[in-house]
Amino acid sequence: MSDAGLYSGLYEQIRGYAELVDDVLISLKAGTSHPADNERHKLAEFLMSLSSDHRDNFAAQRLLMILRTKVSGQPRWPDLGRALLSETESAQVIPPLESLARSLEDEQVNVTTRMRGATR
Amino acid sequence: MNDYLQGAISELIRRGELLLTKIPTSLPREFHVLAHTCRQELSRILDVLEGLVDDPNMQGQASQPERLRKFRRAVRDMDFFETIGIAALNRANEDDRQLNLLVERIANEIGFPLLPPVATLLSQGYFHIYPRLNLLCLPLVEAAFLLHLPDLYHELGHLLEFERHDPRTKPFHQALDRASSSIAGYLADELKLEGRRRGPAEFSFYLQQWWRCWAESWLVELFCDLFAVYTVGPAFAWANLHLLAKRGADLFAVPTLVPSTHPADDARMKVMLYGLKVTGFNHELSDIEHRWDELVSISGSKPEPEYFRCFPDDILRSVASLAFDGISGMGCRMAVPATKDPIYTILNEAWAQFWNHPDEYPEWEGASISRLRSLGALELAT
Repeated sequence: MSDAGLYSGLYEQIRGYAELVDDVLISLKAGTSHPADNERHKLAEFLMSLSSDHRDNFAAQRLLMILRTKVSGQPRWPDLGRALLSETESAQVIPPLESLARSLEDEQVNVTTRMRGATR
Repeated sequence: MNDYLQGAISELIRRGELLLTKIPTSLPREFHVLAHTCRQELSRILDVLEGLVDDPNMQGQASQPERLRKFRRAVRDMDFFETIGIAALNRANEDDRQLNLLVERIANEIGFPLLPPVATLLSQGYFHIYPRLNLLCLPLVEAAFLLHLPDLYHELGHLLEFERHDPRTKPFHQALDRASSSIAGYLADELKLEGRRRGPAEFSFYLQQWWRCWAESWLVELFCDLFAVYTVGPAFAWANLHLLAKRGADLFAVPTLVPSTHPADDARMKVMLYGLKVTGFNHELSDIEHRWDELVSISGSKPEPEYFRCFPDDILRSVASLAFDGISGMGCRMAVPATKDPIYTILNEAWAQFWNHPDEYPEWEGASISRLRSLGALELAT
């Protein structure tokens, strides 16, 4: 009956992806990122799952709905995922990833606030 | 801001180190897992913070946004462990211990597929659970009363949703996926229909808003309600009526501008009643439905047409049926009219006593709490 139970699961999910996006961004900016990197691969797979074609994946749908209302310009997440798996120039993938990272950060704050709000 | 972050991160490291010393070392065994989790997580946060100070990749100007976000995440995480996990460890007392024995007994009785949560009487609101800590919080004197205790089963449901990798929870997640897919299909069709009608733009906005609510929280809430219905039976639906009579507002609320965290109260009750029908509690179902209609009537709540579009009966019925498959698929003991397990019996009998013998109820409840405590002690002995 509580918001805490509801949102602490969601918070964990968003936090995990936020951590992943930041780690990939750090290595992209440091010039040490490669398409075969484990974290980059994991992020690419996550982005490719963010499509309305994957309606039978509750966790991905949940994230997709949140990002739909958060990220302006509606980037095509699966395309960004595919770009991460290729040798695409870092300069092309960094701006949309930064936008995603900011949205995930905002949403974590949002969820934390709701988690600590009224319970029922 | 590089110099600011160096200083602020170092301050947070000192705070984390101090918090580690606040984890009590002589705790009842029920709290050992929680103490271990807090210690491990604080150490992880400290490792992250040390990386933010020492890692050369973190010093460059281009990486400062990532560094700031990582720092803020560490602050939030540390707040969480300080104000919830370590706070619970610092107040662990005999009442908490009794509650933990009861929770353990419930988990065994229903064949709960995961480790039971640690329970504390620390809640500053109503029942709630922190799956990340496996920590269940109840209000200070809640364990001295029976009528709301079925809500504890709902909280256990959140642990199932949180655990995504344990194969024992797979049927639950598969059911959640199927229900999510069917709701998304329904709302996508409604959006297309709205597009063709070229009606007011608000309706498309509402549909998108509801879609987000279903995906973000409503479906999980309904599954947790159903977990409680399928494991503790009618007592949970009665507890829900009790809660809404005391704390409810508009029983048919449908979000329009701002998303809501919980589905409309009436939709929740309907799903619970469908669940009771699935498990054969026809007599109880009719009593609860009758009382619910009375509550709706005196509350003055009335559904708007959007309510029926947001919570169509077919969807609610299908959620109840899919959740049944998911929960029974995990091998949980499903509550049916013939169920005779001790805690199930006490919690359901409490409601029968409340309705049939209201004058004698307080005395009966006191004696039953003692019975529950002795069941918990029995658990400890075995």
